[in-house]
Amino acid sequence: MLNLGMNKEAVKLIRDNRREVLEQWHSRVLSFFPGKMQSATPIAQALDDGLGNILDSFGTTPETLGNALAGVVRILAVQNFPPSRAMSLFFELKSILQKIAPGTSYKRQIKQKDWDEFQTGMEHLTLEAFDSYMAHREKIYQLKVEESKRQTFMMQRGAKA
Amino acid sequence: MPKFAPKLSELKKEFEEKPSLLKGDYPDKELFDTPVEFRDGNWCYPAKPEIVEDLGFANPRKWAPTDDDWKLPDGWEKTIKDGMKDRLERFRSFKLFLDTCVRCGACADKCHFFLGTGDPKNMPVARAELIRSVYRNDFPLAEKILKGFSGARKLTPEVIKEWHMYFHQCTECRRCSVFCPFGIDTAEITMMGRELLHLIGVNNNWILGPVSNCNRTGNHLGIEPHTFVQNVESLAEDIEDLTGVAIEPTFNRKGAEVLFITPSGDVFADPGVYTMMGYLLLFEHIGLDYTISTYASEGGNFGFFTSNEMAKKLNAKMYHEAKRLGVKWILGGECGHMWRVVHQYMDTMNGPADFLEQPVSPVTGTKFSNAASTKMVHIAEFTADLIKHGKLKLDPKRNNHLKTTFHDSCNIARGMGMLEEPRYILNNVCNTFHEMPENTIREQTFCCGSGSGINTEEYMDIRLRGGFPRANAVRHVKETHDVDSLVTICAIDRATLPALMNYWNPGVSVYGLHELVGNALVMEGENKRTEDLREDPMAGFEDEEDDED
Repeated sequence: MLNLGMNKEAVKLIRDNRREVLEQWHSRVLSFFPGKMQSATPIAQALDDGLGNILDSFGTTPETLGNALAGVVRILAVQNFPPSRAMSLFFELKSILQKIAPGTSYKRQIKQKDWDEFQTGMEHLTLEAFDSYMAHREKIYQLKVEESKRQTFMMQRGAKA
Repeated sequence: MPKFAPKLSELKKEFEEKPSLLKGDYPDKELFDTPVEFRDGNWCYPAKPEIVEDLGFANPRKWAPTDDDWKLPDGWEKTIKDGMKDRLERFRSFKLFLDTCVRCGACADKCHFFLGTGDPKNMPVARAELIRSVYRNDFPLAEKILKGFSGARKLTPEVIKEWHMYFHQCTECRRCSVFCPFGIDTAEITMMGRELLHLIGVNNNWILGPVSNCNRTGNHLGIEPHTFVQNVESLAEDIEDLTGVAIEPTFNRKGAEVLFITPSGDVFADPGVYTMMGYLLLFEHIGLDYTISTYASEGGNFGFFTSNEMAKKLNAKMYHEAKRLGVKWILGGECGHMWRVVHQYMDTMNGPADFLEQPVSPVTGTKFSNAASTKMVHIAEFTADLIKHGKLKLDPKRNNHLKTTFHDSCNIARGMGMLEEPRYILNNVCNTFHEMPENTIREQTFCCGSGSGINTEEYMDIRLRGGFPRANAVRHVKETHDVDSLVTICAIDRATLPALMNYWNPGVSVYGLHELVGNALVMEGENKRTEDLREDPMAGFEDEEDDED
């Protein structure tokens, strides 16, 4: 697993503005879908939960963050848009935070060094998400193989006997 | 207040910013002008030319949806228009459904494919509009004069490509029709759409392959009679190994009281075979005088996904065989679309079955008046009746190792209104049944996402999207009640839900209802049971000697 250490100042910024960050991030991810996924659908609700879990996992353990990440990537990996769009997930989050930070009542301004660290964290997350995306694609191919085997279960059993 | 209900300010902003007919705005591009894009994962392999030829269907050739030229036959436009005209005259429902929709949109967010993909053309109203727009252009008089009015459009190859894509992103589940104020059954529009596509050779191998096999040998996989018998006998041997009870099912036996027909998936596929073992145990338990046919060896009817005529032809073997064997009535296993055909079409397609008797349970004496016409009883009704009369010795603790929920199969719940019987059985054979949320069960059940002949592996991406609403409801009971077993009464569900669960809810397994009945049945003279029909250990029934070791 990659180092998913996240800059503490950025985590605090996210926690302090969780609702606004999540709302905007959710809306941007829904725009990935053709015709924009409506917010009252099971997919949108699952994404809302999943993206919220990712935000809450920043600054916790890599396992917690990895599980939260998988919850969202599992949804994105079967959609009708290219992997590049799915992986732009964290670029969207970065741009949201960059817009939100100056307008908040957050007194301790985030320094450049912290932003750089946060940026590195986002890059690592994107790579981690890519690994998860590929794992889910491979899982889909595995499902196809397993399904074919189940369809000929008795035939294979007969052949082995 | 729902969590995601739009706020007043959002509605105001949307009204001000979005183009709308009310404000005299028109979008630059019509929805239907957006071209479809076929890419791996969103199309099914077309039927092999030899299969199309064998069945006498149109335009056998090698082609793929990703080709620019689909090699449509000469005069295909006329074929489609003539086909539509013919069907508008023959099927009053088709004409009514095309004419009465007011595009209110009540159906829009009820479709699992729309919910799972977000694609506006998957709103049932829009999917039906794919055909309706052509109908408007060519048929009603007003549209002939006012060309382009009300979304009318010309029939082009692009339209055919769109039909092919979206009529295979409808599983004919009919959830949308539950919410339609006019009762429009979009499934019937999809059926007509697919029939029209077959007229010009736009098809799907996963549907026509099984149709061809069924046509030749009687079942989807094309299993020959001797193999069919071997498979069932092999399952009977498994039962004997597991329980010590010897079962000898009979095949093609004339004079049996009951002919038992089930989807062939129960005879050759995992996990359907465990459901078959459950049936065999049940029939042995009550001493039923039944036989299994190697000719009518398939309950499912993929012909139903091609044309009315092919559905009729494949269905006919049920009555043919019942007549030949001289049985009194037919008992049908757990299947989905088989029951839609039996319940809604068989009587007029191939009936009246006046050579059969109104089914009466030989054990309880119950007259199945609901089957007075078709003479065919659903096994869930039959078993529920046995339990109600105390005729089965059941130990529900034998299913304590499973925490269950129940998936209403679309064709059983919406197609024939059977909602209580499977639940009644489940509550009697296990102690751990938890319902999924109310708007995802019974009449409002979500489809598995793979019905109506699209359960092929190359279509997995679309299936995983379409199945998401169902999987999401299972996730809910998994998280709230630790549910690990999804029970169904449909062979397509048993074939496709394992993949859906494995992807969205790892750790949830799929079971047939009668598999759980088979686990719970206490058979006369049985050995001590420690394992279920899958040879998984039962909780609380561990072998003491093994424990001591």
